[in-house]
Amino acid sequence: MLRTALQPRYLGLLALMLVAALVCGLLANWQLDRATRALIARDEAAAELGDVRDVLEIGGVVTNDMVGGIATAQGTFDPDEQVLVPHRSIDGTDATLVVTALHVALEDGSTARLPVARGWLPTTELTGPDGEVDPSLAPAPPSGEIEISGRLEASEAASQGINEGIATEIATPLLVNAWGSPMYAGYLGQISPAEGLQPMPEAESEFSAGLDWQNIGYALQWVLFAAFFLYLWWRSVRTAHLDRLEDERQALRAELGEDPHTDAPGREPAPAHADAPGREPVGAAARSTADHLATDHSLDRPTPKDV
Amino acid sequence: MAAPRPLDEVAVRTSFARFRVASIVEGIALLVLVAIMIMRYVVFGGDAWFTSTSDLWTQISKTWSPIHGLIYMIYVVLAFDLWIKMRWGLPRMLLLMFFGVVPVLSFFGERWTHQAIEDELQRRPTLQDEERGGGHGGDRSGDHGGEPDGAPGDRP
Repeated sequence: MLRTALQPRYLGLLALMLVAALVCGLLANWQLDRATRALIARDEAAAELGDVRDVLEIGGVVTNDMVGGIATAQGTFDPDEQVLVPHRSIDGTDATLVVTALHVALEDGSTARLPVARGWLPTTELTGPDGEVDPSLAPAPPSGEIEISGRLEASEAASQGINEGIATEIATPLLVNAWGSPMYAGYLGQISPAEGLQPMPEAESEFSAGLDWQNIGYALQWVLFAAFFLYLWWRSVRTAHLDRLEDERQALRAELGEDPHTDAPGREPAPAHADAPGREPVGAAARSTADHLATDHSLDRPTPKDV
Repeated sequence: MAAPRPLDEVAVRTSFARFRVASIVEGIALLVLVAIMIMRYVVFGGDAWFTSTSDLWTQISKTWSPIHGLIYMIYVVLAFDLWIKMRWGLPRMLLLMFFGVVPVLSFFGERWTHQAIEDELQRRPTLQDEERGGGHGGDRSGDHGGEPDGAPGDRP
C-alpha cells in the first residue's frame, strides 16, 4: 500500500489534494470569521456616527460598517405609529420592544420616518387580562420636538406581518406599509433614557440570536469537503494497490500453470474481494502459496501494470 | 467494501442511472442559480460590485443558494458512488466534480460519462462476461497485461 502511495503519480495527486483541503480550510476559516464577526464587532467601542440624516439616506441600507454605531436624531414621535415586538429574550426576561416612528425633518422641508426601538418592558406588564399582548398598555412616546441617541441597526428580516399593532420583527418593509413613506431602511435602538421603558440592550445579538449558526454550518461543510478530498486520494491509492495485488497473483498463478481464469468470480467470490491476503478465507493450497509468493516476490518482480 | 475487480456491470449501470438524474437536476439547479444571480447583481445591481437594490432577489438568492449547495453535495456523493464502482483514478473524480460547477457543462458531462462507461464496459472485464457465454472470456487474458490499473479511465 505504502509503495503504491509513494509513486510519483500518487504523491503528486496527494499534493493536489492537500492544496484543495487547504483551500477548504481557508474557506472554513472565512465562514467561522463571518460567524463570529458580529460578536467581535460588538466588543469594540461603538462608532459615533453623528446625525442620522448625514449617515443614512432614505432607502439606503444600514451597512455592516454602520451597524451598532451611535447616531442622533431629532424629530417628533407619532403616538399613532407605534408597534410592539413581543417575546424577545433580554437577559432571560421575556421582553416586548416598543417601536415608534420618529418624524425627522429633512433639509428640503419634508419629513421622513425613522423607526425607533424606544425600549422594552417585560411582556407580562403589557399583557392584558385576556392573556394577549395589548398595544394600548404601552407607554406613550414623549410629545414635541426631541433629540434622541441610539444604536443604528439594520432592519430585521420580515417573517410575518403586523397585526393590530403587534409585529414579530422590526422590519422596515412591513413598517413602511403600516406607517407610510418615506422611511429610513433601518432603525435606531434608543440608548438615551426613555420614560417608563427599560433601555435597549447594547448588543443586538441578545435578542436576535441564532443568525450566526448558518455560517458555522457552512464552516463545517468546508471541513467536510477538505476531508472528502483526502479520502478520495486514499481510495484511489487503495484501488490501485488492490488491482496490483490481484495482477501479481494472477501472473504468478499463470506461471504455476494454473488457469488464470479460475480466478473468475463465477467460481467463488472470495478472490474478487481479496483486499487483504490475511483475510482470504478459503483457497487451494497451491493458490494460497501462490498468493504468498506474489507478496514476497513483489519487491523484485517487475510488475507489468505498475502505474 | 471495495468494488470487485471485474466491474459489476449491473451495479455500474444502477449507479450511472442515479448519477445521470443528479447531473440533470444539478445542471438545472445551477442554471436557476445563475439566473437569480443575474437578477440580483446585474438587473437590480447597485452602484458597487456585488450589491443589489432588490430585497426580493436578495431574499430569493439567499433561499436558493443553500438548496443548490445541497443538490450539489448529493451530486458529488452519487458521482463518488459511480467512481468507486468504475474503479477509476483520482483525476476522473475531480473531473466529475468539475462537471457540476460549470453552468450547462453537467449536461454534456453526463453524456460524456455515459460514453466512457459504455466503452469501458466493453473493454474491461465484468462480472457479467461469463453469463454472456464467455464472449469476453478470451479477451480477459489479453486484457490482463494491458490496462494500467490505477486510472484506466484517464485515457480519452
